[in-house]
Amino acid sequence: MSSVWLPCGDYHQNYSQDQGWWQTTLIQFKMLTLLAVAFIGCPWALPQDWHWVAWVFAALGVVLGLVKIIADPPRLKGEWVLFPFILAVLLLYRLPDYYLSVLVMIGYYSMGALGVQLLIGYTGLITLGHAAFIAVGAYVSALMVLYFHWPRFIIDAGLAYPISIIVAGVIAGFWSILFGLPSAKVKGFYLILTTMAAQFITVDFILTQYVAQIGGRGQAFSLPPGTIKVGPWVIDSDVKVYVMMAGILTLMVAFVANLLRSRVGRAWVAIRDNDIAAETMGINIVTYKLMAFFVAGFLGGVTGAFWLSNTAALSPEHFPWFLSLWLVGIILIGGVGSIHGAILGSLFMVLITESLQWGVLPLTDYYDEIANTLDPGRFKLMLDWLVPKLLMDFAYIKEMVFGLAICAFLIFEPNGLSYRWWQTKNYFNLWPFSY
Amino acid sequence: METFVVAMITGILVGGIYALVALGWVIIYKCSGVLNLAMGELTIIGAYVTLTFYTAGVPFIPAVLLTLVVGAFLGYLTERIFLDKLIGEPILAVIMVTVGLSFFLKGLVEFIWGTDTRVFTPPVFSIEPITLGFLKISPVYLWSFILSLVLLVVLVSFFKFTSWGLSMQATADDETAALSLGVSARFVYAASWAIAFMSAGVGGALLGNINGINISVGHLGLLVLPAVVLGGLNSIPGAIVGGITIGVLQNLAGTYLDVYFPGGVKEIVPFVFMTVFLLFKPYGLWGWERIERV
Amino acid sequence: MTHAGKSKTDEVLLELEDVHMYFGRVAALAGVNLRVRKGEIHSIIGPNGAGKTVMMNCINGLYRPQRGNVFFDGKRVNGYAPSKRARMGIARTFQKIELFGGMTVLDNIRLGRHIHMKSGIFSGGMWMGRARREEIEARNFIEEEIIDLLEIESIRHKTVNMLPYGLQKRVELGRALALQPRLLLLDEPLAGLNLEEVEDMARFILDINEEERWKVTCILVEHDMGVVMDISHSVFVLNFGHKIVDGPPKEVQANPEVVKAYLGEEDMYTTRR
Repeated sequence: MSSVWLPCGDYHQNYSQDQGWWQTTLIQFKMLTLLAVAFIGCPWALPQDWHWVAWVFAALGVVLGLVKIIADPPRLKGEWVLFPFILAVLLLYRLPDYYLSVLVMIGYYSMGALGVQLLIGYTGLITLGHAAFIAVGAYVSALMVLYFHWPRFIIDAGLAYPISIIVAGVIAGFWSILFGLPSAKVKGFYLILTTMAAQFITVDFILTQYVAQIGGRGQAFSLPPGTIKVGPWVIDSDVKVYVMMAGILTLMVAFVANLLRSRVGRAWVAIRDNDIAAETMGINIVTYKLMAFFVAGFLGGVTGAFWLSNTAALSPEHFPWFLSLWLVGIILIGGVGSIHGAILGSLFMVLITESLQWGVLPLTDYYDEIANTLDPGRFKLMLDWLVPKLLMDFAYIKEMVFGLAICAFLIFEPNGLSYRWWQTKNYFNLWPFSY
Repeated sequence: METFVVAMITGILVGGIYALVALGWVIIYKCSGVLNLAMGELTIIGAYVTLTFYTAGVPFIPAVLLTLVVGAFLGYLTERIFLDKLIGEPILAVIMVTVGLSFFLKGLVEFIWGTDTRVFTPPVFSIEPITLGFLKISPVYLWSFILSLVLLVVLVSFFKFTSWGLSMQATADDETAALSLGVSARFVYAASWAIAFMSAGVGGALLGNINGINISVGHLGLLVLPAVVLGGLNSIPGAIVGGITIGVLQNLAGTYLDVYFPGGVKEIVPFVFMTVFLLFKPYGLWGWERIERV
Repeated sequence: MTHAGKSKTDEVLLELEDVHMYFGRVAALAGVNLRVRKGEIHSIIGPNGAGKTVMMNCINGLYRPQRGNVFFDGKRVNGYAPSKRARMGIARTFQKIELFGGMTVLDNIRLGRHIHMKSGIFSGGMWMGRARREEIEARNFIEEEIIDLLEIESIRHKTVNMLPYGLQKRVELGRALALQPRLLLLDEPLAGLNLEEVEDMARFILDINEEERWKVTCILVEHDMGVVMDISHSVFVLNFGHKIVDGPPKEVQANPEVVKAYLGEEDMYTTRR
């Protein structure tokens, strides 16, 4: 991480300032706005009779603006004058449910990709079996919620699911350590194979053949409505799932970001960059690799437990090998070795597949309209076969696009989207003198 | 005893096919250093191409030969389009390109041929089992084994005795030196992919004869990974031994362990075995051990 | 010419006893004995391929000698992993620079503080309590002790890969120093530096060895005879895995066997310039 660009006249006076989270007011403003958009702007809008609250905020903004113009107190930065207006706008509007569900998918993949990023991007341990740990988390959480005999008061307080999320994370973490053990001896390609083995052994064998059979309902665990409850809220609508996603993702990102700038995270990066030198710096490589597996497994487990709230029935088919590869693909597209990468990558992939869907639907409609006007012949025969198939077999097209996207990014943009993001940001930060 | 021998022999016969696919994998790795995770998809494509020719009325053996031609062409194309630009990139990039490739090919296969299981109609080999003493072996296995054996011999002798094969070996050994002697590395890379595609394609066609073709043939194609790990990544005899071992292991597990662990034990055992094996012998039986210098 | 006796004592810090190291059938070290006393600069010289770096690796734990013992501070450390030896106080630099290329100078040196910090996953992830305090303390130490000593203030936020070779060498020294080691192994710290940088580096090594604050015992592998003879207390001459002589620089220069086996030519006393 490079250091932050400070505006002229803004100096740090001690080291804790220099290592703080939000080092300038502008950054603080941007981050608070982002959080406000994520937690207030997207999911909620004030009902009609409460609109006056937004106007109160707007009025506050006007007052602050006047104060700024007339008195100009040094503590009141220009950004804070804007903030009430932004809040007012965010309070008035919200996203439709469909967009929220798309955002939930983005969030889900981001969470999963964060664990993968930790392993691949920061510790240099290539894993192709992360879906296994997500699956373990999901199943542990589901089993706990469905079959564990909770004391009455915990269920009433809605704590069963939150507790199970934590437990799921921890168990997935230990499961991940188990498959990380070979990393003590093997590197690179061989490690890829053992993580692949984790996937096949966990999901295709243990979960499918044994765990999923518990309760005798065949393949899927159905989650009766009302079982997934956080505190007083039953998670049953897109908005609630979205808010949960946003909360968990924010916590995860903060956790990982902090971890990476402290002792443990630095040790991981050291192992990735140069394991021999890391060892001579007093870093016990095996311990730290296993720690990385644990944390990645923990994040995966929490992700899996979160998935429960977004699905009505849990089945091992939600966690195929495809998911593992998809997560790795996401960080490759987003950028290896960057937290932004995990989020930007999932944003990109979900948006691409969604927009493809939006593209295909009108195309088939259009074709239905014009099909009769075309000359009959081979060409029309082919189109007759092809166009409906585009819609029907859309999942396969998704796969193809995903594969091509990975290849294209690796070949043409090996640094990923986060590098572009960083470049753009620096351009604006340094504008107009970029040197 | 009888079941044991039958499982053994079936294992060896199926293992022959794995060996063929594994050989393709090792050739790519040896010549261009690419760790290929798309082998499963190459196998499926081979299977479907053969099937398509066969349903169009071409007899089986010519259909396989045609598959060889198509495979060589596709392999060449793949190398040129996807991997040519990545020579010298880090290992993760190269591996993930093959993963991307596998997604692309898988999606393509599913899009074109669908996901239903298809069989060779009329069956290529008779269903009537061949009896050897107390052994009853389905001719599919036997013929597949013979065919893959023939191809193995052809490929290995190509690699050993022709000048193309020699130049490929030279490139594998030392790219710069080979270049200075007038060997075109790009040609060698493309050729290795063509050969791998060919061997995987035929392997797929043969596997497809045994259980019918659907997307899970690709999963069988993944079994080459334990096989090559067992033999050591860069060893041709290792690939053959590894392939056969994995075949045997799988069938023994299917026969004996299935009672205790019903379900997919057959698919899992090679991977479990591989994981444990890696802990004790990380570079396989005949693989190069790299010494790290400071 | 030398300043022998100024800061050394008779206490032995490191001892190699009959160390053998084979690669296949090739003996890189064939029965080497070495005693390094506390506070001295002990140089190891010898022609290329003599096994100097192998010796360093044996001391530091990257290689495990097949025969013989390594004692550090009176303790047998044969089976200890490099990371454990680092925690005991053995730090090193490398012949080919082994920095963490993608990180900034500051982060590289912070990594050197690893063994002096204790925070784990949880407090690190929360950035609370111990982790936060430790990070600030480490920063303080690095800025005031190391960056100041090595005069690399201006590059602290630069990525290491972007730096010129000489500065990279300096950063590597800084990273090793951040461990606050008791024994510092310097593997060709002067190779590839220009005259000015050689002088700076030699000065740093002397500072580290002599200043009250550090008092670090150093083992120096180096080809630059001028510097070696100037700054070391003892010189160990190694040739194809065998010790030729071990003693104060003057004695070594006078030793006919050394002159015959290794030095031979006139150049050996002149630094390359």
